[in-house]
Amino acid sequence: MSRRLTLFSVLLGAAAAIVAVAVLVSSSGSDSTAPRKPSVRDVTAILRGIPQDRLTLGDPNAPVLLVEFADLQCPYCRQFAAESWPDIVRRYIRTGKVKMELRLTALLGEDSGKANKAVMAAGLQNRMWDASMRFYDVQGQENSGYVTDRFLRGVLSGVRGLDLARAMKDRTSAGVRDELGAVYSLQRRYGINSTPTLMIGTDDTDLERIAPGVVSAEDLAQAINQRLLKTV
Amino acid sequence: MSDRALRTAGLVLAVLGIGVAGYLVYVHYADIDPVCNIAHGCHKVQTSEYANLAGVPVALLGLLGYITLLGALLVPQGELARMVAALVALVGFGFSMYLTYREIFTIDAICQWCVASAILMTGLAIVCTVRLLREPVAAGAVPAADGPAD
Repeated sequence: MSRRLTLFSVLLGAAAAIVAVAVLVSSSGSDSTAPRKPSVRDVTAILRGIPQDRLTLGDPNAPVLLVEFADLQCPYCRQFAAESWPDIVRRYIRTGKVKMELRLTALLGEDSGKANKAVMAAGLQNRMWDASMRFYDVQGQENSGYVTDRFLRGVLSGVRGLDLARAMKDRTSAGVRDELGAVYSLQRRYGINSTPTLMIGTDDTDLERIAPGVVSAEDLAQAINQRLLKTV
Repeated sequence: MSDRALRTAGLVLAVLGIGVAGYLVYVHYADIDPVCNIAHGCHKVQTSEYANLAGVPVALLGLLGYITLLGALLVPQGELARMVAALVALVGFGFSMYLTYREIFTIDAICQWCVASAILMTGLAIVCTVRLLREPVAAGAVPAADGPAD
């Protein structure tokens, strides 16, 4: 029996070594230099209980409007979503001081356009913010053609409370077309040519640009506080 | 449990594993969605970065593992076959545990087919380990009776 136990120990060691190598290879597939992606559980917790109305997150009567022009393929938008956005939601949106709009552009190319339609279709069911954060979770190589119907079904299938079939169908709906048109108009009006671009105001007609690029939560909080002071 | 019963159980588990892994391989290469009625996380898991290992679909690796296990279990006697079966099953079990961890804590979605495969691989690891630890009955020998002779 001891000989068999020795044999088993050797095999167990060999198996552990093989699994360790496989785990290392599997883990190295993710870019360790990329910003931490918000996990789905984080997003669910961040958004829980906050009203969503199409592309708007937060109390519709909030005195300050924050608008983010984003591209779902843009890694800096993902970085902003992972690093700054959760803090702003917790401090300003959840407390009813700020409402935030997500304006999805297709500056990076065709895959962005396909992604936008699916996420905006989720917005017709008031799940746009959940869907966009889930897209960032699985964001791939820009314009590699990875945004297929199958990929989008994978993204949307994890969105709590979303009718997947309806969302996939709604990608070509008039509602999504209208919202895409509205984003394009606003993009031209404010000369948006990079993402993420964050703007602040009281409504879509009086927006002012905050610092370009990935704005830190602290800088954004400062801009929001200044705007809040103007509203009192 | 007799060695024959263990081997039969292992064969059943391996065949079921081939069915599960084979279906996922088919789904992968046909570029269609797997049937996902229980946990609704199959799409998310199958499109995650953990669905491939060094560019090879994990489902294909699983299928090859189950086929190897089936082949090793089909050999009634033989130390080498038992060792190969135990090694493959232990590797499969370990990697299944890793993938289950990723599903729960990283991808945050559960794929029912992956869970089924993990359960089958756990069963195979138990069966193959027990068979390995037992002294094989020499060819032509009469197995000892379970109880003492009167």
